[in-house]
Amino acid sequence: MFPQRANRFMMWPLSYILLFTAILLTDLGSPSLANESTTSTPSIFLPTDPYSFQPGKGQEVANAYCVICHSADYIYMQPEHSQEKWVAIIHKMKHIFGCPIPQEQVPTLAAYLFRQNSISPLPPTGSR
Amino acid sequence: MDNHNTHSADGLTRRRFLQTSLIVGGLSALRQQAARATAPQSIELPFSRGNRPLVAFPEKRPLMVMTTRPPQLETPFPIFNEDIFTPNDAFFVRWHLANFPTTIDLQTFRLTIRGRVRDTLSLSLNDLQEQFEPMEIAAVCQCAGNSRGFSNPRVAGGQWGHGAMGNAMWKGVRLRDLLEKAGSQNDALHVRFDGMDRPVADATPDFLKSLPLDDATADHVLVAYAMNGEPIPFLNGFPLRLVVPGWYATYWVKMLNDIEVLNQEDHNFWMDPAYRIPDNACGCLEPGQKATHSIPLSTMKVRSFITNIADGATIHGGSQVHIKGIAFDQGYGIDQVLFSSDGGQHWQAAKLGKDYGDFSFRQWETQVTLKPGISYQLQSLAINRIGESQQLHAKWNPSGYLRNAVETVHVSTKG
Repeated sequence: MFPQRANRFMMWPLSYILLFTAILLTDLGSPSLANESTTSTPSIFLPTDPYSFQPGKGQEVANAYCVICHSADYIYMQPEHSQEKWVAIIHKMKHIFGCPIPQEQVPTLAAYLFRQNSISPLPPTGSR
Repeated sequence: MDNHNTHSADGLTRRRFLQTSLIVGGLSALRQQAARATAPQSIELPFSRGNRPLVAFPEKRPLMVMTTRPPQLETPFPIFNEDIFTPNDAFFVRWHLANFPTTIDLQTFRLTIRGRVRDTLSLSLNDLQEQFEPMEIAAVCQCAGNSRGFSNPRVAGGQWGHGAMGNAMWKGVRLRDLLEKAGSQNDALHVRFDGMDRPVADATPDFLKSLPLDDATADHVLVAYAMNGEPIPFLNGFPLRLVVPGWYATYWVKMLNDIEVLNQEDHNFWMDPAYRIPDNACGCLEPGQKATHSIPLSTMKVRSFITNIADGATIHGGSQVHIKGIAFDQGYGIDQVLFSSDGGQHWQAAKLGKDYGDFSFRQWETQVTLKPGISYQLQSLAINRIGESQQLHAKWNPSGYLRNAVETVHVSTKG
């Protein structure tokens, strides 16, 4: 019933770990070989979204539009809002932030977010 | 301003960027995975829906995840008890737009200064470090909505506890020096800042912030390339961040690469209607009211915290208890911190710690005798050098900004 939290190992792709290990070994073994084009282009790898919207009427709307710009935890961390407040929030997303949600889907999404936002209290991470 | 002796860093070399951005990131990832079996997995903030998973993002130790994408990460509060400077890998993170670079080519990176100037400038990181005088300052960076989760009644927005703040030693060049070199024109009024972050949806307003010219050219406003003696972590704005001591973090534009001098006030979305406060002395309203007139949020309000005892803790009574905390304001400096163990009925003066400058956290400490078997309400109240003090009771506004109430740590004592 609750958002599934990925094991953290899954949030650090194997390629990331291998890359870091390779760079680490290379650097310790032969510091003078540090390559200019590599060293002047530092990078990070962000974890993937661990949350997903939970089953229910409107889930597909949330998955189609909300997650374009942000992860689902934006909804799950909110305090309890009324359904009217969720309508206002969706309108802000649509009209100010440019979310391409069609107007006719707004009531479905508002009802869905209201229900999701009523799941309270959220269980500890381990049981998600 | 005090120079923090560990921060007299040389110019930042590519090699150091590699070490800090890649190697340390890789090492900490491996180390964190090894330590994972015993570490707590989440922290529960004391308001509804306050469960925050602890996850290590790149260049960060496990922090409290409010949101994953874009990342909003809160510093676990006990970290503020450890050092007056918040470690880079524990410093809070807040992005508005998910589309920010995760790789930056320092060979091609340029900071542009343009608009109402005589000469448009395009500066590399090396140009900044070689052509302008370096300057260091200790300064608190605090989100405007820090502590928003404690708003009563609750308001929409990021539900932060008290950990959307941090204190660092910032090093960079004065914005004023850059503007002088570019030559601001006579009609210059405001300066607008843009970072490399971009919206995901085309129609979302890009994140831009502006300062009035007088504030932008203040002596202590920096374009920073180092934080606590290291390159700024990616998630805190690598490679350049605007540092506006005393002002809320919304103005501290991250991944700064564009500075535009304007001859008028800026009304882009993030200045108007976003990040505004009611235009009255307290910046507050009665719950449920809407502001008729609003102004852009600007400088911080004086705050203090007890850092060595957690709310809800049980401690040993019957002897002297050491109380320790931090205080800060918008840059007048802390004059006095008062401490109470009875919910504000009686106050005693705390002793202030080393002064790292007017914009820094200031540590304080005191001793108090607590009897066993009693519940106490521990509070601290800071007063700055112009006599401003914290609010005894929290004020409210619809955006949950500016909180500076006296916070209460409830403890019970045992024998």
